[in-house]
Order: sequence, then C-alpha cells, then structure tokens
Amino acid sequence: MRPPFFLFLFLANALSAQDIYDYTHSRAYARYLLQSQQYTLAAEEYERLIFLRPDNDTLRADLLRAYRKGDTPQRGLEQWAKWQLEPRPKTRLLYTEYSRLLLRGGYPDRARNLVSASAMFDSTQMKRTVLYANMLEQKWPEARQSIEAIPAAEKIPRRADLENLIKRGERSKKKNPWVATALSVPVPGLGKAYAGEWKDGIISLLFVGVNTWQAYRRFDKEGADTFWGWIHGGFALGFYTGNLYGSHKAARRQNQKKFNRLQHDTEALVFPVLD
Amino acid sequence: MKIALTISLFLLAGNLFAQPERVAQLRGVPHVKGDIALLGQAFAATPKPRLSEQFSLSRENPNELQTVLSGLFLVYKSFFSSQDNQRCSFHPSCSEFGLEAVKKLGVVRGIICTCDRLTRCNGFSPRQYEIDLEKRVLKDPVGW
Amino acid sequence: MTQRLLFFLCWISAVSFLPAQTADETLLFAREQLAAGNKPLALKTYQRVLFFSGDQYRDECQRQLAALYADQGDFEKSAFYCDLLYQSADTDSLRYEALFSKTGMLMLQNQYKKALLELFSLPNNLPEPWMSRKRLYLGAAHFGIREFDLARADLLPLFAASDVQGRAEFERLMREAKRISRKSPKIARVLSMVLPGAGQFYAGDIKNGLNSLLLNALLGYWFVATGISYTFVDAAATVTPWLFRYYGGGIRRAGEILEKKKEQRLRKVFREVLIKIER
Repeated sequence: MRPPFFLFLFLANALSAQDIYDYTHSRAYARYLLQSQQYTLAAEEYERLIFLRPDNDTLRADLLRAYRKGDTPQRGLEQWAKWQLEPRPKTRLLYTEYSRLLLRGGYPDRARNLVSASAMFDSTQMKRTVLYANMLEQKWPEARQSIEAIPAAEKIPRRADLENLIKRGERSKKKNPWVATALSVPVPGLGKAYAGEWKDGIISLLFVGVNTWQAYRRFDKEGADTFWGWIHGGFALGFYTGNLYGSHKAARRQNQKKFNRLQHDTEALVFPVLD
Repeated sequence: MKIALTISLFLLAGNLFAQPERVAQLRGVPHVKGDIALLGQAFAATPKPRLSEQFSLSRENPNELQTVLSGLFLVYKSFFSSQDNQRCSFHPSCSEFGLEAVKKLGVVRGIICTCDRLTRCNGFSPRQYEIDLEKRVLKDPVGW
Repeated sequence: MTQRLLFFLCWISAVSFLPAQTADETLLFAREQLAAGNKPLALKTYQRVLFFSGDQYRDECQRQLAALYADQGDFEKSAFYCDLLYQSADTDSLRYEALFSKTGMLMLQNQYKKALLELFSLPNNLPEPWMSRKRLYLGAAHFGIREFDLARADLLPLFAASDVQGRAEFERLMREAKRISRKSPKIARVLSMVLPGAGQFYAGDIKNGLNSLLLNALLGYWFVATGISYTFVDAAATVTPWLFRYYGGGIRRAGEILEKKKEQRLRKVFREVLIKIER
C-alpha cells in the first residue's frame, strides 16, 4: 500500500463531490440572488437556508429583506408570525429589518409601536421610523412634528423632498360629496364643476338640457301621445339623476385621487430610503 | 483491509458514475427539432375569439330580463360597435359597463350609473383616470 | 498506522459526500424532471447548475433554459439564453444552432428585421444542412418584411432542380403573395366612401361589408323618414352624428380590415410554402 494512492483516492473523492445544496454553497448562491435583485429566487433560497440553520438571525433578516424588496412583504410578515420570536432576546439587525418590513407591508402603526416600545433602537432610528409611519398614514400635522424633532445635523436621506411632501399634504383639501350633489340639484353639472371635473359638468348640462328641450318641443307640438317626446323625456330624467349620483361620485373620486397621489409619492419617497 | 478498500473504491466508483456525459443529452431540444414547425408557429393564424367568449358576463343570465339585455348587448357589439368610428375611452367600454352595472347593481342603480358614465365618456378629461397600459384606455370599473 | 489513518481519511471523504448533491447529480435531476414533464422545477434546477458548474455543463444548461423559456412562451428570455449559448459555444454547429433558435424566437415575436440582422452574421457559404437552414430562415424573414423577390431567391434553391412541379407551385404561391400585398388600404377607404361596405368587400370581408351597407342604408332611411314627417333640419340634427359615426367608421375600418386580412392571408400563403418545402 503506497500512501500516494490513498492521497489520490482522498482528493478524487473530495473534488468530485461538491454539494451545491449545502449551507456554504446555498449561502453564496442566495447572496448572489439577493444582490442581483432576483428577490423571488433569493427568498426561496433563504427559506432553505433557514431550514438548515434555524436560529440564524442574519439569515432571517436577509429573508425578510428579500420579501420586502421583492414586493411580497406579506409573505415576510407571515414568516415572522410563524417564527414566534417574542420570548427570545431581540437582535437589532433582525428587528430593524422587521420594522422596515412593517412599514413596507402597510402596517406603519405597528412599526411605530415597535420602535417606541423597544429600547434597542437608537433615537435616530426611532425618529425616522415614526416620521415615515406618520407620512405613510398621511397624518400630516404629526409628520410635521416628527420631522421638526429631527435636528438638521442628523442627516436623513432626502430631507428636503420629505418636507415638501409634508407641506403638500398639509395643503390638500377635501371636497364634500354631499355639497357636490346639492349643487347639481338646481344646475345639472355644477356639482361636477365643484368637484373639479368641469368639462364633464358641461357635458352633463348639455345632455340634460338638449333632451329636456327636445322633450318639451315634442310635448308642446304633439301632446301626450308623442313617441320621441317620451324617449327624450326619459333620457333627460336618466341623465339628471345620473348626474346627481355622478357629482357625488366625482367628489369621492377626486378625494381618493388626491389621497392616492400623496400615498404614491410618499411610498416612492420612503420605500427606497428604508435601508 | 482489502474489503475496506474495495468498499471505498466502490463508493468512489458510484460518485464517478454519477457524472453525466457532457453532450449526450444535447439532441432533442423541443424548439429546434423542426425549423418548419417553428416557422409554422411564427406564421400561425391569429384566432379571433367569439364575442360571447370575450364577454363571458353575457352568458350568465339568471333571469329573462338579463337574457334580453345580454342579447341586446351582443347585437350591439357585433353589428353596431364593430362599425363605429369612435372608440369608447374606457375599460370596460360603455356597453360592457351598462351590462355589468345592471347585472351587479340592479336595474335602477345600474341605469343611473350608466347614464353618469355616458356623460363622462367624452375624451375631454383623460387625466382624471388611471390608464390601463395594456389596453391603452382609461380604467373605470363598475362600482356604486 | 499511517495506512490506517489514510484509509480512514479516504473513507470519511467518500462517505461524507454520499448524501450530498453535486452539480452532476443536480444536472441528472434536472434532466429527469424535464423528462417527467415537470418543467418549472427543471428550469429552476438548470439555473442552479448553470450558476455552480461553471463551464462544465454550460452549453446544455443554456440550451435547455432557452427551450424551457420558449416552451413557457417567454420568447424574449429564450432568445437571451440562445445568445449566451451563441457566445460561449465552442463548436460551429452549436453556434449555428443557437443562432437559428434565436432567429426563430425573434420571428415568433414578429421581429423580422432583427432576425435578418442575426442571419446576416452567418458566413455566405455554409456546409449542409446549415446552408439550407439559413436559406429557410432568411426566406421566412424576408417574407415577414414583405420582400417577396428576396424571399423567392432564398427559398427557390430548397426545391430540387428536377422538382419542376414543386417549383411551379412555389412560384405560383409567391405570385399570390405579391398580389395580396398589392391591395392598398387607401383604395379600400375610397371604395367605402363611394359605397358603404365596398371597401370591406374589396378586402374580402363579406360579413362586415354587408353590415356596413345595411347600417348606412338604415341611417339613410331614418334621415329621409324624419325629414318627411318633421323637417329636414330636424333630420340633420338627429341623424348626422350617427351618420358621422357609422359612415365614417365604415371608411376607417375598411382600411384596418384590409391590413388585417392581408396579414392573415400572407401568413396562410407562407404556411402553404412551408408545406411545399416539407415535401
């Protein structure tokens, strides 16, 4: 028996067998997937890694990050609930990621409670999270207070943009849907103009006006047994009622649109600066 | 010792056999099998779905009123809408909206909603609505 | 003692890797899944092998990924992997294979000009069967951009010189393609302007032609009837908007219908050409 033969045997075995599903390989692959922004695949990989190393908080944080960045924060929150981490000592890395996940997943209130209740977050982190939560909930006066609580020396990303957005939020006024309906009772279309859709208001006025005028002409000329008179009358009534409802809806739509636009801009501003 | 060596070699052999041949399976990839088949697919006829398949709502009619309405809708779609110069600026289009509104909200509310929609379908205020990027029209779903 | 130690080391190294999954085994697994028809899993597994195995199974992985994405209908991704394969392949035959696949994927997305650009990168003289395949793809791409003379020149050599009947039928089909492509949407619109529905008849769409004709006749009748029973001012006020919509619509749609019909009929002609070539 010559030792070199054994050496060869040993090396051959070690080289030929390379487990690409083991921890080290999977970790490298997962990190590559996360960095190359293939978040769905990365999440699957981290799920497997966590199965291999159940108590690794760095892996957990990375998984939550993959879910958050991959626009499936809900999956991350479900996973969090399954882990049942509460009695364990908290690690800052994981809980920071969790607070971001809550903000991203549509639970700003829970994120605010988390950072306020726990001593683990430092004051900068806490103030920023509260600011973002207030903005995402569109609580503009509160958001104003929280941004003023952060001194200018403490650098937070895109501060000027955040301040402008808060200013915009404070200025935006809502329309009352019932006022819109009431305005449309005497003058069809006036309610829509009040809501901000004045072109639609003019069209409504035209539709109701022309049909009423036509119906009046026909009834005036032919009495009650006019076919087209009743048709135009029916249309006039339909468009008049439709416009009452439409004015109400126009005001609601405009309010919703304002809300959505602010929400969209807030999310576009806040989500990228979470990490 | 010899037995152990044999076992060891056996295990190693197992590892080596697990290695697939390099190019063995390269043949038989589905899409390069036939150029003619592939080109046939590229030049295939594009089928046009039937109207009643396109608007599945027109096939679910729990009562006679809805059957009549769906029939009118299909007649309008196939003989009038297909010849129209103007195109509705919304999705669902006004006729689809009307059918859906009456079916979902009932006759009275459906008619009121549709009347409102008809006045709004004027193309003057496209900025009031979200755009359906795929269909290239404005989004305005049925809802009270 | 050293012997025993060495043996032990050797044994450990063999045993510890037994349950492990190597790139080789993963590749086998991917093949097995592909054979079993579990395509989504095969796709993921091939991607993993491609990441870990380096150059060893690169060609197969790229090729199968291209095929799997094509199978999913994601022709763009498929073309991407064909491109990778083209760049990394070390034999000419594999490179050509990749290029033809990519060309096919582009044509499935109706990007005939891009397909032509790909084909132009091939050398002028290729050994068989590559030359025939090049001619076939070139012909298809030229047909796609409606350059029928070029398509004819590409495809004619695919018929044997002795196959007189096949050549004649091919020539006939190409003449038909030219005839179809000569129909102009402008003429269709003018015809519909003169008589509603005429443009649609010209395009070969009887159903829409009759539809347009009847609808406009109905509107005309409505105009006259309203004019007689009320006044013609009333008639103009009521009917003109509808006339604008349906008379104008007939004119506009005649052009659109012609374009669509042309496309469908040309595609049909090319499918017939393919059948002739297959024989």
